[in-house]
Amino acid sequence: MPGTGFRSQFSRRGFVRGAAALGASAVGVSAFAGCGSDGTGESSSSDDGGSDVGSGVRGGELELPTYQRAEVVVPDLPGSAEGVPEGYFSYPRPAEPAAGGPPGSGGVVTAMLGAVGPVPPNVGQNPWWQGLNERLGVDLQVNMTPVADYGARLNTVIAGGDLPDLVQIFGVARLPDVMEAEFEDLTEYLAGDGVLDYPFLANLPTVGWQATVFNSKIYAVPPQNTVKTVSWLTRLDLIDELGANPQPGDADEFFDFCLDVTDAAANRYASAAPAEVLNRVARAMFDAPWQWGVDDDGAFVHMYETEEYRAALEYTARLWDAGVFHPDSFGSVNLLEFFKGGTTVLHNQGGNGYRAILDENIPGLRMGIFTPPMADGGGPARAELGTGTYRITAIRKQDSQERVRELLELLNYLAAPFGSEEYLYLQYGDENVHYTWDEDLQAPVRTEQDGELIPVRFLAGAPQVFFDPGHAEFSKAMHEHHSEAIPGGVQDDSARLYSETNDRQASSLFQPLNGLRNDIVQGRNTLDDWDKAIEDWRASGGDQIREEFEIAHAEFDV
Amino acid sequence: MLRPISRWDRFKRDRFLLLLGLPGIILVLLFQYVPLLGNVIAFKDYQPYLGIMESPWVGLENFAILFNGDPAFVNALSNTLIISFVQIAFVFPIPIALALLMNSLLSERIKRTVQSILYLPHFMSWVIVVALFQHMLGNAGLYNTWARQHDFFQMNIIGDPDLFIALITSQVIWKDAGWGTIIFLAAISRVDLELFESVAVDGGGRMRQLWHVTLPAIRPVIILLLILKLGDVLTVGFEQIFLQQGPAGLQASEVLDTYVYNRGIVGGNWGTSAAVGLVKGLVGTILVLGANKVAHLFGERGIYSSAKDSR
Repeated sequence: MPGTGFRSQFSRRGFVRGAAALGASAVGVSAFAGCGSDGTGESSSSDDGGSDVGSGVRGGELELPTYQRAEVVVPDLPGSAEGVPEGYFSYPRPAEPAAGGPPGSGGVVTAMLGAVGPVPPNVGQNPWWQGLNERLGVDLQVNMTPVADYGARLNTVIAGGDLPDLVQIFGVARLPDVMEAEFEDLTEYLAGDGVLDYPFLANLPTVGWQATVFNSKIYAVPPQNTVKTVSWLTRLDLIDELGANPQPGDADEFFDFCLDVTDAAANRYASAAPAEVLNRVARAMFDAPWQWGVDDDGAFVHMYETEEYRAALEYTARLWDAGVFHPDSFGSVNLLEFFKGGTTVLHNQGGNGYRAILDENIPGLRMGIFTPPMADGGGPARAELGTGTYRITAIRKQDSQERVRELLELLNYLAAPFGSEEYLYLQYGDENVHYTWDEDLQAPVRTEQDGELIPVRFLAGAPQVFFDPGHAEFSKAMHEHHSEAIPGGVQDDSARLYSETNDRQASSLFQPLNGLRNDIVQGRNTLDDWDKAIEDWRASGGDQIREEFEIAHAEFDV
Repeated sequence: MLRPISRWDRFKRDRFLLLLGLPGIILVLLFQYVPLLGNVIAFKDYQPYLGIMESPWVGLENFAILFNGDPAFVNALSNTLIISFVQIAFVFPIPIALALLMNSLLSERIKRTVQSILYLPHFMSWVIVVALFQHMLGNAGLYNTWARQHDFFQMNIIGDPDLFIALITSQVIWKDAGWGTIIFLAAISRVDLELFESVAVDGGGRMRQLWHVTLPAIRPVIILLLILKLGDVLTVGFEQIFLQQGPAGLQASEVLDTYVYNRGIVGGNWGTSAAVGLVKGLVGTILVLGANKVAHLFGERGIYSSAKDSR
């Protein structure tokens, strides 16, 4: 039963987190199907589940914010409604301002977010931040916590009743309840055409907004991520040098590829991330669902339960046994450094994080993109897709509607799209300070001063684009890769559903499985142990989660 | 005739001393005792957005995990106990031996140099220590890379679940054995030199001095530290183990502290975490009190003695 007939459409009506499983009040939700690119918000969805389209609004009558592309510049490579990012070969010069004046009217706005990498200097020693405050017309105070600690900090702040105005939300349990208790319901401001008051928020593809809905209300704005969350980069230079096949066509060829590029004596391995290879390559090759999949009858199955995943697990264990993974893979290793240094040949990188590798211009490094094939050689495997958001940003309950509007204006400013003068400042800073202009590339090039920029894009940001000055060919390749992968991709069908059991017990239920999975890959346990663990998992909560997802799913997507 | 000193008189007599102690008392109350009240969430379904007061009571539900034979919990408990007793058996005596060795060094300069070198690892955080071990002994570490390139014998130390306890025990020894000598050295330095001379006069050699003078002199300290160690028997160090769970797998490496973190904090099951933490504290207290009683039975002072005992 498992693994067959999973719907693979990604933009469709009704994937909305609800409280059905919570037994809370009437939920009736309907989000519009996907992303109209015609500016009406009503979709001409490119679903393969065509019969779903057209039933429009239902039940509680929630309209997702209307999509209206902000016409700032014309892209060199077109985006798509399903989430293929636009591509650009140069930055407009001079970049024209696209927002009106400062969105704020004085006063203090506080915010907290989870930051990656070094924390920028504080506002007193940070001209960029001072400039940002001037542009925003407020004193923006941002508390940045390392991503790994953010959940703990946010929980503490919530418990202490000390939330700032703008809060990046992740790592909190019982989100629907938390949202209702602590944050502004933004539905009346943003639903339907309401969002058109904030043109840069209206410029965010509809798919991302679905992640901001709880109990059929909009509670947040969605900073953008690529819908195809992860891409597999390869070291083409090494692959060519070793005479390996850069695009294996089936499971056996991938196995050979891994063997061909591995040379332990030279400290070179196919990968140092066996769990990722298992979940994102082998799982796709054997066509198991991505996390939770739903079949046409509304029955949910987790990828771990499927025969297909079992086959992928067995396959990955054979890969491990063949020695193609870095022997310290299960320790703490720096995957990116391994890839850049040629210790590994395959590397999966989220969003457009590949850009950081290109920007380093490492001598000799030539990157390719690998598309996992179907195990039996039947063309490319179906890629796993995300929600199109990089977490979400909510607004703490405020004293007045004016204040909420002002904060939305501010978020709108932060979401100024590629090509605008605002985007240039938010992403690159001031010319000749944080970046210099490169005439040949027709692009800004960051200077060392750019450590002053604070990652406000985690609060709100423009849709992702492919823009790789000096590497236009790679932009094209990436654009093509996304264009091919997204239409047939598979999504976690539970991504927008809420199950209380999942919320409370997911980590305790899945952690033993993940541990066992790693042990099986390393040959310490067998697939029989896996079968037994799956039985336990079902009995101790897996089936309960399934049931709750099925109920929630039935509510919204009959 | 002496009249008994009343409580009030004693208070008046000691008022300045008490005043001096006041800041410390306030500090302890505020930062040790008040937060203890938070343990009440062990009996609640605590949700941060509701706060401690608003979260619903659930009775002993959070404690169920201790008794319902959850295999993951049992595994964590047994790993904790095994690691703890291995460490008491192998780690605890080492600082004593080291202190005795150092004490026998004659040159003050060499002694001080050796001490400094031995103390140093204590000041490294576990992250650094674990990284050092991984870079030296890891499968792609210094040794194994060299061995692979020279067709030499390779050792899979990090990542072998069977060696996990040996690995973390040797790390603890490497890091803290030197630091642990401080208290013993202090105790040894207080031994009356005349005693050593008496042994020498009686014709006793170095071993006899050790056996009949030094060891009896530091015995109270050894017992005191052993009792305190018993109180920690359910705590075997979070960071060190958490950092190395990946390669070794949970079966071998999950201990109570990591279990509480992985299940409770990561999964948002705060109540369960608090319950396990509370029981851990209780068991620790009982062990310390019990060990102290046993020490008294054997005529030792233990960590404290009640007013009645000391009379």
